[in-house]
Amino acid sequence: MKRHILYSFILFLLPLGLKAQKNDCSISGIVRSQEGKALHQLYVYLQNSSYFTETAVDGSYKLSVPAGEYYIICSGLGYEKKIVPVTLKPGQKLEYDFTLALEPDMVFEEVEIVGKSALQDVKESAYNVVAVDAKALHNTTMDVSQALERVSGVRVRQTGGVGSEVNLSLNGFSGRHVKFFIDGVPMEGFGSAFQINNLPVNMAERIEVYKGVVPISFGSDALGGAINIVTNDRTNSFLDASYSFGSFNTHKSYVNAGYTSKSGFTANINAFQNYSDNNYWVSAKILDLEGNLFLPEKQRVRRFHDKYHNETVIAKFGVVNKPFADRLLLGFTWGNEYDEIQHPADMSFAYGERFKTAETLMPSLLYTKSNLFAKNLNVSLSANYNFGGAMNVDTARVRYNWLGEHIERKNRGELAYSLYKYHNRNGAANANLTYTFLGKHAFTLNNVLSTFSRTGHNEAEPSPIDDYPRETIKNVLGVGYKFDYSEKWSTSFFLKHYKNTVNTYADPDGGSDYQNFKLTTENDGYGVASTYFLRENLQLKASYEKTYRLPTGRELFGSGDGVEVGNVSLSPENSDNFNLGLNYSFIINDKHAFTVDGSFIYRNIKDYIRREISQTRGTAQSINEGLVRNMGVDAEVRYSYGKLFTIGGTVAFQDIRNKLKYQNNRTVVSTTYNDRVPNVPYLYGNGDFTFFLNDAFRKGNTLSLSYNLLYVHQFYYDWPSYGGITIPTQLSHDLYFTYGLKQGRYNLSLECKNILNEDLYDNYSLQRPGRSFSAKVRYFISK
Amino acid sequence: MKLNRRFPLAILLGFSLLSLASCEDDEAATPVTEVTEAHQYVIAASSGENSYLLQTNSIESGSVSAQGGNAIQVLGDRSWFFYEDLAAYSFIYAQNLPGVTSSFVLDEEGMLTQRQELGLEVSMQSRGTYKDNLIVEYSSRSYADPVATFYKINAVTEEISPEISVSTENFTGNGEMAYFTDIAEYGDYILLGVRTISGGADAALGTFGTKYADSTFVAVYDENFNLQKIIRDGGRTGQVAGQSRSQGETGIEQVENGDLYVFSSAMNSTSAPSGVLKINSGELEFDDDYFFNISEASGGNKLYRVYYIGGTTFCLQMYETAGLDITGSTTNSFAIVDVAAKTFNWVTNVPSGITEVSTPYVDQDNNEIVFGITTTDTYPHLYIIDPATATMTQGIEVIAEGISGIGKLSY
Repeated sequence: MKRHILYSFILFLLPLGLKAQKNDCSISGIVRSQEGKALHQLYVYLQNSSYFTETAVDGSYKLSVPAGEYYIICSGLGYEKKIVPVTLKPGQKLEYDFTLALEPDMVFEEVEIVGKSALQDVKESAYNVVAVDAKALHNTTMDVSQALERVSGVRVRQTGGVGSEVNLSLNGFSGRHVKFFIDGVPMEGFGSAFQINNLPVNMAERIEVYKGVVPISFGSDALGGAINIVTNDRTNSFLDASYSFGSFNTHKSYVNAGYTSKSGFTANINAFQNYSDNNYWVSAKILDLEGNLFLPEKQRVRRFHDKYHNETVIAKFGVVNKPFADRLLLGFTWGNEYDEIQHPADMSFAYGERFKTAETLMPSLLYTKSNLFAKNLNVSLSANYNFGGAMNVDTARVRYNWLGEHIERKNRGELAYSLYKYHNRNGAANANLTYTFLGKHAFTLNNVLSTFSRTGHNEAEPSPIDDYPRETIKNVLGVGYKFDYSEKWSTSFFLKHYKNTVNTYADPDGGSDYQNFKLTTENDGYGVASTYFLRENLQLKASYEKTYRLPTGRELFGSGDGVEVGNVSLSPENSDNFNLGLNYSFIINDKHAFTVDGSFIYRNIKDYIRREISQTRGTAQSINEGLVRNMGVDAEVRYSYGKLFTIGGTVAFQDIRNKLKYQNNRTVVSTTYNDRVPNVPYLYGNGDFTFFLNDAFRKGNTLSLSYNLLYVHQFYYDWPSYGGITIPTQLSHDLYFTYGLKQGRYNLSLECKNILNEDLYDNYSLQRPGRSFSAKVRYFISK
Repeated sequence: MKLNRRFPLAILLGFSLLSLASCEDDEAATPVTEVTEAHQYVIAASSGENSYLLQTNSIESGSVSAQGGNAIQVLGDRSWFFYEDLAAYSFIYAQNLPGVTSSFVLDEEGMLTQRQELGLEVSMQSRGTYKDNLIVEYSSRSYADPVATFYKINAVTEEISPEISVSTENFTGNGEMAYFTDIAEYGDYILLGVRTISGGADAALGTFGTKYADSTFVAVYDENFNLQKIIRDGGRTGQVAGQSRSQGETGIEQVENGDLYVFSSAMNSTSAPSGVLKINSGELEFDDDYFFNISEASGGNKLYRVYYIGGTTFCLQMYETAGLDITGSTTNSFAIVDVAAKTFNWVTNVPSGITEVSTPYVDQDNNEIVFGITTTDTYPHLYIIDPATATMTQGIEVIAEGISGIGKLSY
């Protein structure tokens, strides 16, 4: 029943016909659903040939073929395949429109058997982009950040267990340089209760990772790339519910239900929860609380104050397929997070009472309409506004050690007395307009506006600045033009205009004479991306973008306490990002399917914003100093044998070096010139193997067993030329076992992560969980 | 098309070989210095991110490098305190950085070696020695929690006292809380430099703001931290506070004959000059007849920190911006003063283009003071001031990004 996807894939992979034929006939038309909605990303191909195409956003397709008798087939994920016989006389231009019915049972398992899927559309764009098929991971207990770990060039560094802080690096960029989006809307203002370390992978349909060059539809100052989480936009009725239980008292559940009536009313609810005690074993130095000295030997202890839980509900309702809107949805997101803090930035001390909480309260709006006013003019608008807040609490008069023992103290705060509360007023809106004309030209106009406003108050260190908000208003306007010269060659050009307004109150002298500072900076970025199919199964890609990251209010104006000093003359960080990629796939004897993906990246980051601490002034200030060059390669290889198994792996190597010869306007060569940038993994990869047993025990049931390997080469904590501590090489092995019944309606899975119980570290001294087990049950039904 | 079916395997294999080939030796490096003297100079160099401890027989000339794995790495942005010639203590500045406090001594071969790690939870803001002890201190800056925390660390036995807390609420009676800036031994007393701050109680003043910037306070404690007295002065100079960020180091200085001099930088006052007050040996009062106006003597500059060399001679580190408001000023100039004779001489031959100055080492045996200085056109060097001539001479070169501390240890 899912065979058509496999077929389409195989057909796609077939090398071009050996002898050249004259393609003087054509078949074209529109593919629509039974409700009349134009269907995007569906395959149209001729049976037993290598002629194939995909439908455009407006559902249109066109195939240029030689004269002859064919079966033309239209198929796509979630729809019933349709086969139509056609006869083409020389020179004939046939028009044929398809109407496809929804497939009663949607099962995705076989998609991953061959390692490729309908994500092809994203992957084959000219951008250096990797799309993760999140659906293939829906039976696991992963969150979005863990799913990203499998992408070549991506390293996810986590500080602990469930809910712990995640730092994702993309070809060496991390932190403020990589931006996250959910369905194209920037996630910056969502608050910590709604981030990639707590979003279950089930919420995502796919995850797109744009490396270095970011299409204008993600208007953001993303210096190093962007990650877009695409949620399911099914407009049928379905229910996806799962619950898992695992080691360290970890409970996760997820429910996504959707309903769409014949009249077009639609409602969708997403609810999820994560809970974990995170009480895994670590080895730590024990502090003698009376003697204030550390015992010399480390001991194996259990974490005792690291509970994490979050609960989120996203409700959306509206209408679909109306004359005035394809989709018009109103939504509200409520999120709540509680996070106990077990230790500071390393594991030297243990805390027993510090914690933080966060809340997301966010209404949202989504509107899409194709063929608005004119044919091929598509518009979309999405917007949200978060008015939640957060709190950091460190008020206890105690001191703990890693054995969980404690003593009373006179002064408050285990790290430093803090009772900090802040309130957000963060908004984001993304408007997009695309006009396609003459089939080959597409013109896009995009605008993303994000506003960030926060007021905070620390009970422990009140300041007159508390009454003033910190505000940033960022607008990125993009114009793009895509030219599909032929089926083989497609090129996109784009321009982005960044406008950043920072509004803050500070006393530049560190006193309490607060003045309003407002500064607007504007910059223009640009880029080009092009792809060329040397052969139907051999694709070349090249892209370039001049990217920017605009300075924040704190970097520009300081913190207002005289210690963090502003620097209003800061320029945005900018980078020249080049990518060159190659993709080759082929099939031998209908059984052996190979894909090879490789890319070369070059990044030259200038005006890097660095925080400089001046001992003689006793202050810290952000300065534009730094020149970092990164040259790297990443590659992915995959092999599948029929529907029986698939094996693949990724590897990334990046040579990120400090190219700043003279630091601080000095005239002596910096001791770290040409050094590899410290504390950044530079050689890493993963491998996976999945074995499928179709119709296991019963027809329609599938058993699968996967193994995943993660490798990170050791790297230095400080500049390598100084030597010192390294973060040792990491190797971890995970096993996944899934049994799907009734074409995936019922799923039972078992996982074992870190099966060899190795000591794993993503960061210096911060030990990750040892061997863990979890079991998950999932029910999925769709009409 | 001919295809090797083992191709993916070959790639995986290649990958694993690559990883094996590039495995590096992560054995801890040891210093390579050959010890030829009964004492060793210890230089804490910085890579910009972390500290690297180097040892050397002499500092007059030559070059040492913190690179190449020859130094002892100490994680974090560290400040250093040398307890006499026995031990070098490293403290973390930023509270959220990895690392704990530890001390280093010379072993029987004269090589630096780390002792037990200390569980001092907070970043230490001021330090001083009292008999066999190193006393370290942290003051709350919140009116809601007016407490200062002390530890006594026995530098010889490595023993640490339980945490000692004192109240800083309405400390001098003026309503403001105390923030301690220096710790000194004075007979059987422990003297503390006091800066009174609002701690946020007065929203308009903020955390470090004060209404009493033109007053001088010194707190007198017994060795069990019972408050004995607050010595006060008003109208002559300001508070004892030569702070770099939250850290204060100096200001209360006893000389050989037992007299005590209190150096007020008045850094947070725009109306009071920097000046020196005196407490005569054995007394617990300021001498009303003694005042040395540093701002006047220097021709308008305020003092930042002060280091005792011997006799009645001190080396002052000075703010470079003239006037009573030192906001944003660097502290890259130096002076030699005699507090008895009230003489003030600027140190000459100071290198130009200074970017960083370390806390110095006072070599009382050789009657000199040594600073680690980084300039724009050289690698960091040690610079030696001869107080007799008030001139500075360049010493050993240190290949690193900066120097954060210097000391001399014996074994």
